[in-house]
Amino acid sequence: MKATFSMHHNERSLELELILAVCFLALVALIFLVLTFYKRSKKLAKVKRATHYQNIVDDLVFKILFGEQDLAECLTIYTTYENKKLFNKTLIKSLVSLHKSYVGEPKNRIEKFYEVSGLYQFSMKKLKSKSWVNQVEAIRDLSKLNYTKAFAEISALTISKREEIKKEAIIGSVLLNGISELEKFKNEELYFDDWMQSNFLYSLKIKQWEIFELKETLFQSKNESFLLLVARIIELYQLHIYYDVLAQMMQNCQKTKTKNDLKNIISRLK
Amino acid sequence: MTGNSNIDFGIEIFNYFILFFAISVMASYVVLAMISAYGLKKYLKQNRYVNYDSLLVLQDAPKVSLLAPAYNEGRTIEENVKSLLGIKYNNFEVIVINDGSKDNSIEVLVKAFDLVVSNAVYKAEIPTKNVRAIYKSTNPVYSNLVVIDKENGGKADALNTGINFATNPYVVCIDVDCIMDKDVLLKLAKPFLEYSDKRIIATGGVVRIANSCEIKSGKLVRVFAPENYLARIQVLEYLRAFILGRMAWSHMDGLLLISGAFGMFDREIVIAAGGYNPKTVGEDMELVVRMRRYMIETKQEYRIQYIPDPLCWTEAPESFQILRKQRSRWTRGTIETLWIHRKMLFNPKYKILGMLSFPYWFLYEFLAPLVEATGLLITFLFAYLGILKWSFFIWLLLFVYSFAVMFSFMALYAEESTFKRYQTYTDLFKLVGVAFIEPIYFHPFTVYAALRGNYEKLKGSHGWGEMTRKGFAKTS
Repeated sequence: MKATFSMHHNERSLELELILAVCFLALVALIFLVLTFYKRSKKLAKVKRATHYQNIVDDLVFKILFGEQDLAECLTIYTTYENKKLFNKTLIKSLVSLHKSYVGEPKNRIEKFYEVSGLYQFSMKKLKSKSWVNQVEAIRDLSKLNYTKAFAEISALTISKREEIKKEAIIGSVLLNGISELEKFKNEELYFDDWMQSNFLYSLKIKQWEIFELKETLFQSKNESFLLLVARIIELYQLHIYYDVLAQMMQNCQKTKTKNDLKNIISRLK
Repeated sequence: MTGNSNIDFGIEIFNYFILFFAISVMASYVVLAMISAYGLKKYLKQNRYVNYDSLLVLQDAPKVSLLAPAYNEGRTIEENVKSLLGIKYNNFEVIVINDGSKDNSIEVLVKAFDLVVSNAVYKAEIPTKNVRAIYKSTNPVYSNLVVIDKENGGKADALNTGINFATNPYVVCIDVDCIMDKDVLLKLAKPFLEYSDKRIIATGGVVRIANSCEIKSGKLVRVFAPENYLARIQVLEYLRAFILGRMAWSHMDGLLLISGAFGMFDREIVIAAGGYNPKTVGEDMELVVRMRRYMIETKQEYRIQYIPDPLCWTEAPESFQILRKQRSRWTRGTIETLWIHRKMLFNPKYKILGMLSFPYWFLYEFLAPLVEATGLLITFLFAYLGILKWSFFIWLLLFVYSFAVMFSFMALYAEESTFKRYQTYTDLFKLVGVAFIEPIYFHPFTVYAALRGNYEKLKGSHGWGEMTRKGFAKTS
């Protein structure tokens, strides 16, 4: 009798637990549903704002690039939106993209606008942010838009403990202070992996520098990954004068990967 | 209750078993989803500022051979190959392997790409069916295209042929009819360039459903939720599997499967592990398990990288008939892999693979449909005998149903917080709608297909079954 009662009692409590669980799951489902629609509405609103800003930015950068109006008028347009984060982000993105596509006067006008408008402060603020992603983005924007006054701050980040920041800061400081800056890092223990090297070479390519020689001290690095980067820079600028140096470098390297990569570079440089 | 204490006790045990099994499945899903959320957040943060184009300046970017097996694809092969040749990357070749097609695939390819028979030598490091001819193009525009014509041997055999012929250190195995993201190789190659103290032996990514999406010249232009209900439900299913499942397994280094639709592999390790197994229909999972097993048994440090970006878009079955064949095949593939590598189950030597991934697949991928079907049968028996406790049964069903709906909403939320590929409210409403019908309309069918898969395996069936595809509506 007792056992039967206990069984019935268990069943009832189990059913009750199931009912509670169903209610709980329904509530969680509802929360996810509401959050999803909330996110969607926020996203659509953002897309709408972004499209609106992009139109203004397109118009503005055209004026900056081709000097339809003097800089003061461009600044007046910018001042209306300068406190809008999304507008600043959109504008910087457009400026960076155009900066790499132009040379000469239009390029200078972009750089001048970035500085005079105070837009650089948006990037400088990000550079000091606690988020490493923001810092990396800021280094990239400041160096690509050639804001040389940020060199000291960026250079200071080359000793960051966070590898992503450190690598980006090395690239950034070279972009802002010239290829000779690379020498500072020849004794770095950091592994310059292929991904970082591709970013480095890409940034150099965009910079459109004319380089005819490199400091020979660069070849004395004990860091094989650094030497490989130097070799790739030699290849990028087709510096045939260093052909023998590369051959020597290949002989001295210990790692098979570095040796193979150097061998390929030498054969392509031939 | 029957009044017979032994029977009542048995019923109670049965109830508790079913409840416990259901709860354990749900708990595992939730835990995996939480790990995935963490992994996804980390991935998106790390890749927010990445410029994949920078890889295009690196002359030494990993050299890749794209392997595309084709069987009776004559109708679409020209456009598919052109789409593959248009992928953004420096160092790659496309190897199309015509697996003894009965249609005019070879003629179409020869005409479209100015192919001539080449005297290139084929060396079979992995045994394959005979190669009839190797074609190369006389047109310099297609200098990175190779077409191998071989005797029919199935997808695994065709891929092995491609692996044998490839000279590049990395091979990307794809389904020729899939739509690839233009950055697919850049994204798959990135992990191979980053510093790692472990050898990366494979990278794989997310496969999504392309039904009803806008495709132009072999490229995905705009994503829409499928018009067909069955395909639409599979969108949810893929979101749950790829966003809330595989990401977690990857994060725990327990990934057992890189989708057969596309994955990048270290060719040397693939060959050392013996290549694809042509005797299984789950050759994609089996290869990954075998490669991992090889690395552990030869005591080499290694890693498999999962990329959660949607990089590959495939056509999902729109009819129950095709879906049944596909799912039965998946079940057979799972059974075969679990059986071939049964030594790994609960074997601490294989670390997380042996102690977690393998038991999980065994319990929740292989056994779950069987337990579910058995539970249903016993329930029907109880109902017939008049001893079914209806209120308990209904609440249990509601419990499972509400979890399934909640989990689908969780997947939708994850998608909305990350990749946001479905852009309109209409699409969102469509997906929310099918989340309500999936547990009653689609899930029972997948259980049935899994049972058929078990039955076919017992019968000794080895075939793939016809996988007729409708083909994408392409605008050029």
